Amino acid sequence: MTTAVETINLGKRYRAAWALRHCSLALPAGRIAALIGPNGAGKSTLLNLAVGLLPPTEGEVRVFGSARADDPAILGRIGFVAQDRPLYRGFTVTEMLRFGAALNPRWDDDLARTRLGRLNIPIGRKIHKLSSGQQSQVALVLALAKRPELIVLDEPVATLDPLARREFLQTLMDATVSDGLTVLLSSHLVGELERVCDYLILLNAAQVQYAGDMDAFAAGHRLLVGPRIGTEDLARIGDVIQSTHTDRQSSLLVKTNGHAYDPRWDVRDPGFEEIVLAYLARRGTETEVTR
Amino acid sequence: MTWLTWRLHRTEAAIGLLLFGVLIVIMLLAVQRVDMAYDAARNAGCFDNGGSLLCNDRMNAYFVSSSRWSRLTTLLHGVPLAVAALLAIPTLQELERRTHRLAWTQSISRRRWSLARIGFAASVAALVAVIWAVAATEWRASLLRGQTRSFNQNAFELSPAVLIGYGLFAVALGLATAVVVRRLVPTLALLAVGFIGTRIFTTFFLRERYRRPIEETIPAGSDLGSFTDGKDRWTLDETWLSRTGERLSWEHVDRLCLPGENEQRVDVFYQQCYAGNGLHYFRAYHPADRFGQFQLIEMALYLGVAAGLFAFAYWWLTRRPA
Repeated sequence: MTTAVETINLGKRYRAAWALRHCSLALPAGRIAALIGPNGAGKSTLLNLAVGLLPPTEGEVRVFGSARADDPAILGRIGFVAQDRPLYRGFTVTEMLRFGAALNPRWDDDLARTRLGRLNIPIGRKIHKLSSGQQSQVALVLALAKRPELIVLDEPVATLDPLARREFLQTLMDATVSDGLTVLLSSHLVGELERVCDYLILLNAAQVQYAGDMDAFAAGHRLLVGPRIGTEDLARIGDVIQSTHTDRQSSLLVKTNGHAYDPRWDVRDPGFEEIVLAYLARRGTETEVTR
Repeated sequence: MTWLTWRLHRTEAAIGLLLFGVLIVIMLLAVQRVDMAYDAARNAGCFDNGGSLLCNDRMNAYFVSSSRWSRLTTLLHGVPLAVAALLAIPTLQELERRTHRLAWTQSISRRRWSLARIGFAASVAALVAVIWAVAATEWRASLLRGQTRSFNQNAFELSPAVLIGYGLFAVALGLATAVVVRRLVPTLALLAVGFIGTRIFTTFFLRERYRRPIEETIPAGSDLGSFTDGKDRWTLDETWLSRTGERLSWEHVDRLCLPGENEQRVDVFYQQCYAGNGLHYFRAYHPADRFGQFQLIEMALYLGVAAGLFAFAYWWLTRRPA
């Protein structure tokens, strides 16, 4: 299987603070990857590094095997929608398409017009007169009409209402089915992404917490609930992601490791969102949450 | 790319053409009026003898017309600044609204994008500067009559060669500031301060140093006739020196040689008194024939800095994070 995006010990520092550090991951081609993390976790930094808008401070990022992410030949294979989805406000939609056609040799104008038509977006209208949802759709169509092999979306649905969000993700999913795209999509909205993504990258406090299959992630964790245990006992149970304790009871979110659990534990399957939140609560080091 | 560049600049281009057009029309009108008044006075022979009632009227009409329109001259020095602002605005809007990040993630290198942007600005700047140089030359011929090769500030700074230099420098400064500051109002403020500051520095400090001035020390009593000629000469310094070469203040010289009330020939008295005290007259100046040379030096300086600023803008755009 080929790799669409690979990062090797990638790091980016802004003045004194590291926005991203020791980031090593490989996103296989053809996957739809969710990049999840709280605000300020380094999601945008990682995506901007991937599309060549930022140079790394250390390590490297390879897109389709090339470390030169600002090379036009590579850029032509990437569709990117930035967080604030910049468009020329004074342009009409038609002029935005002309912009795309002028700057991209593989531009597919029919595809762009068909998709915009299906979304009922008036192509003679100026960008600043479109609704927020329509602007997002235009930005996505611009990225798709490049006929990219990888599409990178930075918080594409964050500012959309639930209906527009649904439509947006639908357009994206249609495209991936027909084109066999690799998608890298960041969001802090966990629920939406579980439905559409099959690969997961969890980022927190500038570090990668998890990178791998979405299914394996969901299946690979258990919630253990049982009598209150002490710190020493806790240490003996491996791979505890999060532990919460009340006076009598402890509940532990653990990675499954093939070992049988002590019968005093009541073993449950946690929900996807629950696991994600547990990872994001770790803030780099393990913290105990006391209720 | 050509279409895109044009599309992004067309509003400013329209505004610029309109303003420039209006200004040129006003200038042509002024030139025509002043020339008419001048011709009327000259045809009546007023510059040769004058004195008649008709000449009084005509000379008066010429001076009134000329001095009225001359007030515009100050404004004309600001034209390169306006052109630079109009050419910087599209790039500023692009950086402020962050649409450059959209452009830089299309199938085009940042180098090409930057070259197109800077190339466009430089070409337009050069074209406008040449047109402006022609227009300003017309202005100078009418409104600053007889000063076409003068070191007089207005006349020197409205000459074609330096105008081309100023024009390109202003645009390069605007673009370089824009790519670094990335905010409309601070950029335009810095552009104005930078351009006006550089021009003032040039006028009052730099220009006289393009070449070493000619220095002459003439003993009092010898022929001083040449002092009165050459109105286009640029005199930087003139003073009396004592026998030992010390500079003397005018008060000192006046105390030294005070003609009595019954003195018949005051000029002769001065000459003899100055010579008797061993005074020397010192002057430092640039002769009028250095005008062309100074124009070229100043143009080269401004063009050189402009080239440096364009190169800096390119370097900054291609090397700095988006």
